[in-house]
Formats: sequence, C-alpha cells, structure tokens
Amino acid sequence: MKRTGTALAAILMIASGLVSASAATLRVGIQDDPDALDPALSGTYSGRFVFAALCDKLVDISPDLKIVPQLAEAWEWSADGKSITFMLRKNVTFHDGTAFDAAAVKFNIERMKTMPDSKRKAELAPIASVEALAADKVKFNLSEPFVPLLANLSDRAGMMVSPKAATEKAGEFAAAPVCAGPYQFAERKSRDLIRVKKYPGYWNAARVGYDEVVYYYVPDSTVRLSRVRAGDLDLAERIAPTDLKTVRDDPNLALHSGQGLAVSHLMFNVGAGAKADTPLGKNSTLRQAFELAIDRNVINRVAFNGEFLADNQMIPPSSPFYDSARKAPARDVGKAKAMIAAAGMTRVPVEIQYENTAGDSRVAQIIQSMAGEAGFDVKLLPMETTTAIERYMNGNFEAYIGNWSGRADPDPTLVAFFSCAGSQNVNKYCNKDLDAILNQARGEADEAKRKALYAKATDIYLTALSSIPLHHPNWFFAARKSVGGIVMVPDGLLRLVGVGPVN
Amino acid sequence: MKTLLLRRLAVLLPTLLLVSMMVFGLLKLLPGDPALALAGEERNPEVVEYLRQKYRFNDPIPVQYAVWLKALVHGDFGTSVRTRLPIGTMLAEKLPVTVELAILSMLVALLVGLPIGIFAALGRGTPFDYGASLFGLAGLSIPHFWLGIMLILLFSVNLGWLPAGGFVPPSESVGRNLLSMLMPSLVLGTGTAAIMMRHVRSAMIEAMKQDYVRTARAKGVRESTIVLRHALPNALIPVVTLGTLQFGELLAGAVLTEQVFSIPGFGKMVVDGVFSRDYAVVQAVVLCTAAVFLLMSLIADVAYVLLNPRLRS
Amino acid sequence: MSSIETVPVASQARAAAPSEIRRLLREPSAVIGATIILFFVVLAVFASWIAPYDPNSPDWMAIRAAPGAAHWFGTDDLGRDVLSRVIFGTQASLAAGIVSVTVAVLIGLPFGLMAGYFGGLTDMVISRFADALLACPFLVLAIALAAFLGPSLQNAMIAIGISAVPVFVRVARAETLVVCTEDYIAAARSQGLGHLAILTGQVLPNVLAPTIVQATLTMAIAVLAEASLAFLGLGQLPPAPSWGAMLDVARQFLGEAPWMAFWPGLAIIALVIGFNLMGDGLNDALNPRH
Repeated sequence: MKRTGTALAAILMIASGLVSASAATLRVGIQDDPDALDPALSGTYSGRFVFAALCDKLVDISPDLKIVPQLAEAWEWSADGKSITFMLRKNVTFHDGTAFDAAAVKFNIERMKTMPDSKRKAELAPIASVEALAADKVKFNLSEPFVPLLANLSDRAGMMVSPKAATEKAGEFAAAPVCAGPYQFAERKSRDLIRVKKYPGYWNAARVGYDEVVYYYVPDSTVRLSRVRAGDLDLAERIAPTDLKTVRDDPNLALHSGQGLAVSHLMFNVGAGAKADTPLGKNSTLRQAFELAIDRNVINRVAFNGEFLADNQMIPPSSPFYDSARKAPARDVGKAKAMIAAAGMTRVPVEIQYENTAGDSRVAQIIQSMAGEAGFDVKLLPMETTTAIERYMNGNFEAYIGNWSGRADPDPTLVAFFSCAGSQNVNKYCNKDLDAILNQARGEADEAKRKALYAKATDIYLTALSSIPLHHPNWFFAARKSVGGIVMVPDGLLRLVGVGPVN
Repeated sequence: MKTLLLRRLAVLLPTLLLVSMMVFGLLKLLPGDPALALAGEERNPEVVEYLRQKYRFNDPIPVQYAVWLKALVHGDFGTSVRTRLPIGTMLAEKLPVTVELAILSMLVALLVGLPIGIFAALGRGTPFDYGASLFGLAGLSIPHFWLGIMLILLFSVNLGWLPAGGFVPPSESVGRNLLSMLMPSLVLGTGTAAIMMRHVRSAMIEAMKQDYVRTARAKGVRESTIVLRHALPNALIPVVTLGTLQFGELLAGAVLTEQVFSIPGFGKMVVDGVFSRDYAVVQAVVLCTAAVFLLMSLIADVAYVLLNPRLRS
Repeated sequence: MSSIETVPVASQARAAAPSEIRRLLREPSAVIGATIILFFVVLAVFASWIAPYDPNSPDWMAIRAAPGAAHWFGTDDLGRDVLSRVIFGTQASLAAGIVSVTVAVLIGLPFGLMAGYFGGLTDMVISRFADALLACPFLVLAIALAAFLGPSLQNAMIAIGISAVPVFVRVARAETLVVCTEDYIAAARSQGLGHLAILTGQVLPNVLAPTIVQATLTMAIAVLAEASLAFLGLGQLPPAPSWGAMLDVARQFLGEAPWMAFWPGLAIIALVIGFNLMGDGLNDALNPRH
C-alpha cells in the first residue's frame, strides 16, 4: 500500500514536470471573478484588472497620479473650461481590425451615456455632446467646467470598444469584448480563467512581452501565493499583508508594492431614517471622542501587520491634493472619556455593521475593544456582502465600515460621500458650505487654488466626522523574479506594456 | 422490476419540480437586493431600476418562477446575472470538475474503506478491528474543512509538496490535474471511506454467520476460499448500493472541500451564487445535484434488487 | 460535511424501562460517548471558572503568540487566548447540536407520525416534501436558510434544524408504519380511541427509541454543520468565540500560527465523536437485534 503510494506520487511528479507552461505565457492569479467584461457595465476591480490587458483608454495615470497620453496623444482645454479637444493617436486599430478614430470615440462616449444599464453615466454626466472634428481630432462639449473629467477618462469611462463589435453583438459583447488594448480576448471560463492573447496590430506591440496572459480566479490569498511559490502562477495580485514575510523570504519571488487610492472608513448614520437617531449620529463631539478612542496605528499593526497606511483622510497622501496640515490625532482615552462626560453620558451604545471579510472583521473587533475602554459599547453586526450592500444603500445602519476603491482625482470621492446629494452619501450628511466648495473645486483649473479649496473641504468634513477615515490599503503583488518590468500605479492595475520575461 | 422502475421514475419529476419550487421560493426570500449588488460601486438609481426590470426582480415570485420554468422546459437555464454568461455553459464547465472530484473521492473511499472493513470483520475483536472502528469514528467526525486545512498546512505550507489549492484542467496537464485533486479527494473521500468501512465490516460479519458459510466450513473448504468465494460477494451487495448512494452525497458534499481548496466546481458555484444572489445559478446547481442524487438512489434500489437473487423474482 | 445517514432501527413494541438504562451502561461506546459529552457540558457550563482568560479580551502586545506558559494553546490574530476561546466555544457548539436537533425533532416527528399513521394523501404530500428536502444538498439548504435569517448563532441553529427535518420525518414514518401493523393498535382502534390518543399513547412511545438514536447521531452532524456555517461567516457573532469561525480566521495564518487552526478542530472532532459514540451505543442498547 505504502509503496504504491510512493510510486504513484513519483509518477505524478514526473508527469507534472514534463508539461510545463510555455515561457511566453504570463499566468496571473486574481482574487475575484470579474463581472461583465464590458467597460460600460463592469463594476469590479478584478474586471478593471483584466481590462488593463484588453482595453486602452483615452488617457492613463502615472505612478504619481499625473494624467498621461494613451489613445489620445494630447488634449487642450478651452479657455472657459467648458470644452476639451483630444488629438488621437494615429494608426490604431481595434482587435477586429477596424480603425480607432474620432467617430469611434463619439460612438463610445454616447454608448456609455445612453446604454440603459451603463455604470459610466455619472462619470460622463458633464459631457453634453461629442464632435468629431477630424479623423484624429475629437471635441467634448461640457455642460459646466469639470476638471476631474480627465481622471474619469483614465478608467473604464475612457476605454474604447470597437463600434462594429458593440453594434453587431450588442447583447453578447461582454462574452467576447473587442477593444484596442495590447491583448485580445481569447476565452473565458466563468469562475475559473480568462485567457487573452497578444494583439499583433497593437500600436505599441513592440513593448508587449508575453504572447499570452491567463488570469486565474483564485479567491484565497494564501492559495494564490502558494501557487506563485510553486511556479503554477507567475504573479498574484492582492497578497494579504500577513503573507508578505513569506514573499520577502522567498528567493524566487519579488514583492511589488505601492500606495493605493482606496480608503477604509467608519461611517456614522447622521441623517438617514430611524437609525440616525443615536447619540453618535446626533452629536459630532461624540464622534470626535470616538476618533480619539481608537488608535489607527494599532489597527494597522494588528489587522494588517503594519503594511497599510494609517491615515485620517479620505484622499490618500499620494494625491497632490492631500492636506498634510491635517494630522491624525493621537489616541487619548482620557480626553475621549471627558468629552463623553461633557455630553452628559457615561456609556455610549453603537452598532457597527460590516461586510464579513477577514480584514473588516479584525478591524471591527479591534475598534470594539479600543472604543470600549473609552466608554463606547460597540455591538458588531457582520453581514454577508449582498445583504450588507442593501442595508448600506438604504442607510439601514448606525455605523458601517466602508471600503471605497478611490479615484485618481479627489472630486469623485469627496462629492460622492460628502455632498448633500452624493451617490455614496447614504448616511445623509449635508453641509451647504461644503457643497459650494466642492462645486467650486471641480471647475478650478489652477492646481494650487484647487488644493486650497480641498484643504477647506477637508477641515469641514473632518470636524463633522460623519465618517472617520481609518487607513489606506496598499497594493501588494507577488511575482516570480522571471517577470520583469512591473510598475505599480496607485489604481492597483497591472499594466502589461513593458512587462516581459527576464532571465 | 419494471413496475418498480416506472413507479420510481414517475415520482422523480414531481420531486424535482418540488425541489425547484422550494429552492426558488427560499432564494427569493433572501434579503439583499441583487440589483444593488450588480450596479457597481456608484449604484446609479437609474441603473438599479433598469436591472430590476431586466431581470424581473419586481415581478411577483410565482410569475418569476413561471418564466424560469418555461425557459427551463426549452432547455435554457438562463443567464448568470453577475457574469452574463449562459448558465448552461457554466454547468457544462463545472460539472466535470465536481464529478472528477467525486469519482476520485469514491476511489479513495473504496481503496481505504473496503480492505479495512473486510479485515476488521475477519479479525473481529483484534486490535486491528478496534483501530478500524476508531478510524471509522474519526472519519465520520472530522470536519472536512479542518482536514483540508491540516493537509494544506502539512503538504503545502511545511513540506511544499502539493499545491495549496486551485484546479488544473486535465486538458492542460493530466499530471498536474491529478496532483491538484490529490488532497481534495483525500479530504472528501475520508468520510465516505469511514461509512463504507462500517458497512462492509457489518455486512461481512453478517455474511460469515450465514448457513452457506457454515456448510462450506463443515465441508472443510479453505478459509480463504470461503471468504473470497462465498462471504465477500454477498457482503459487497450493500456496498454497491451504498456506493451509488454515496456518490450522490459526494457531489453535494463537495461544497466546503471546493471552498477550502478553491476548486471551481459545483459546490463553489452554488455557495458563491447564494452569496451574490445569482438566483438562476443556485437554482440550476441545486436542481442538477438533486437530479443526480435522486437518479443515484434509483440506481441503488435497482441494483439492490438485481443483486439480491431472493428479491429478483 | 458528512451526509445524514438514516440508521435502520428495528422496532419492538415496548416502553422505556430501567433495564434499558442498565443495558446502556453495559455498552462501552455509550459510556465513553456520554463521558465525552459530559466533559464538554461541564466546560460549557463552568467556562467562566475554567478558562484562564477572558475569551474576548485582546492583548495588542501578544498577537499570534506561540503556545507557552502564559498561553497554553497560544493566542490568536488579536492576541486573545486560544485555550479560553476553545473552552467558551463549547457553548456555541453544544447549543447548536442540541437546539437544532430539538427543532428538527419537534417538526419532523409529528409529520412523520401523521404520514405513517394516516397514509394515503397525507403520507404522499408529507413524503414528497421530505424527499424533495432530502434531495437538496443539506449544507446548501442550511447556508441559504442561514443567509435568509441573518447571521447569528440562533439563526444558524434554526437553519440547521429545518434542514434536518426530513430525516426525522423518514424515521418516524417508517417506525409508525411498522407499529401500525401491530395488534394492539387495532385493539385500541376497536376500543374507540381517537387518532390523537392512539398516536400519542400507543404509537409515539414506540417511535421514540429510534428517534432518540437518530437525534443523537444528528447532533454530531449538527455540530459539524454549525462549524461549517460559522466557517462561512454565518454563525455566532464576533467577538463571541465559535470553533468554526476560529478555523476560518486561522486559515489565513497557517504558516505563522498553526496552533490557531489545530485546537478548535480537535475540539470539534472530540465533541462529534462523543455524539457519534453515544448514538452508536444507544442504537445497540435500544435495538435488541444486535
């Protein structure tokens, strides 16, 4: 029995050694199975991760969050800020061979603005009309000055799909997307893998290093890493902070890390329905006391091995609009207790809801313990994701640990969470002064003046504290040393141009 | 025989219909709005409403059920609301994975359960028998996911011999496919091996008490011949029945094993489906599993009758 | 997850008697099983006195500390004492085993009795529903129900209980069918006793023994199911400890803190073995065929 087992194992080992993947394939482990592969419909990070191979955008962002050319080589704002003209790259074709030109841009913007289930409507809302001035020149007319537009176009809203394919395959486009990126779609097995192969007609094909990229859906971080270590995968995204030591200790692996745009924050229901009627919901002093009761550095150290970035703002420090004057207050339990007493209370009850994930669960329990020492009786309510989202959107919570993926520009984040009608303002915070400042900032083309406006906005939202920002997650990729040319960008997407095998 | 088969087949369809109704009803009762989950981070209200209309989330539940059933009768399982891929294709991709896992697990169960059960019965009361009983007990009592975690700890984390999870399709590499299935099938097979062992042991003990064994023994037939020729074939009858039944159970039992080892099979599909409220996906998987389960119990009954000469008339 | 195995138990017309308790005490597996269960009951009841630490109080300075003099089983990802959490976790698992099976028996037994006693259409309707429920994967059903009810230990117990109902319908129905062929049932009928009186007075006592055996064995499965649900995030609310949830967290730290995964698993196995042994012993003692 035992000998047969050994023999069997030996045969398996040999068999596995014989069939190794070809050198020009990049095998990538991703944490989530992407949703619909259509830039107009996609709503997930993992979808964007795959789009980085399939679909080029009008513009891209650089590691220091500057807007850089991609399908558009240059652009020019009009003096009044109400229109922008793009000079398009020439000789670009989609994967079906059709030409990328001004008419295609017009088609794409209109498609994303009119498709009934398009998720890009808000991002493109300020665009009133699109004019194809020449084959390589296109003008967007805006309803009002809107500086963040370029940042929006650096994501899915700026991804160009083949008008021919989108028209002909309308309903099934997502099953086999046709774009103008370095790789073209080959096959998809749901909840398993997505295979893309090099598009020879890509405008920058000379810098594309792999013939094929396969994205494998491997939800468990530990499994993803172990498969990279075993050589089954060449790269894995979102390595858990607790696994980083393993990556650093492995001579065959390289750890690629970078600051992200995302933020985790504790939202308090201050105005949405009955659940807003709590001491913390009604009293900003108590929320300030809550902030003093917790220690962001302990949260970061205990929950994430200190690998994330403890911070008190919604905008990450990597952004040029970060307000470095507003430092996170140090933990002060005594002061927190005094503030609770001043509010005429001794124990303050609050129920914190969160999506039942490993990270949030740890954060919630750490907050519960620390806030408890200051006099907050925290009850925890973990919810499975779909239920949690519904309760979140309906403002059906007293407090909620939110995770926002962030944007390259501060505008979408701050407007979404703090303007009276913001799409993420589910806890119903409203301050007309802040609304006015945010509105002014999105039309302000001068960077220094814009920065000053965001500093004012930061002061207001950090005093009201309808939401207590906790930390910004960092990006961690583990890759085999044989994968060269990886550059980390704050949006956490793996750009494949320039990436190739090295020895 | 024929009437038995016909009667059982006649019950099969209504039972499946009932399964589908119950599952459908239960799923629709789940809290959480799938349209919100689908609408992306921005959750534009217009988009949410459009999705609700498109997938008929606003219709009364019986209407939704009728629409679903009508499509099913035409062989259409519907589309996953999350990936927008046809569910029929998804099933065709996932079923072979789970079936492979179930077959390999059954192999493990037979290779481990049969010999231990037979030798435990022959050596009744010996230390081996007690050891076998202990194994049987442990096999029934160890949570699959814990066993999986411990195997990963030993073979992947500490020794680095086996992949910690994931699935390599046989089309890519048969060797790596089997390697990736080794731990999962060990984990899933253990429980079945224990059940198998217990049944084989008691069936074997029972068989050894039968008249024909006593007669053979009185005639001076060699003990090994008695075991191989007379006792074993009779003791294996319940094993065939049990094995068929257990195969259906294995398909259903793969849920957590697939979760622990990140294997893209039925179990993972259904759990993810429940959590993301992909109703049609859950419906399809549960229905398929139930159909296999019911078919297997039908086959088990038929096999029981066929293999039992006394019942055949 | 093990499948639910229905145990065939031959029925005899008899009432519970002291002789059976004596017979039970002669079954070594029943005695060992009972001892194990008793051990966990003591742990659960006296957890606050036995556990060396508060199971929910974290120690930021001792995150994932290896087992040692201060923490025999080590500490977890938040610096909580694993031994204390395993001890307190007994409460959730025992409650899950007992409460969910009670739910299943309370629903399943009456339906099974009715199906077996009345036969005909009643039997057909009840049996079809039981068959349909049995054909659904047990754990998937429990997961969907638990997701429907919302995460909490109580809801997990209800979900498991409902999923286990058809097992008891089957057992009770099969036993009732056998009992109903007995002469004394016909005698009771001819004396003009009502259905309810016959069901509770004559049938139920005879169905009870196999139901108890099945209940004990199902408790083992319920403990496993609770652990599975908690493992998937559908059980006991944090920070209160539950073995399954502890394993879920431990999975993320296999390399650095294997002790987090080891002990809760061992506790589950021990308790499940206890229920299985007890069930086997009861089966042997209450079932004179063996």
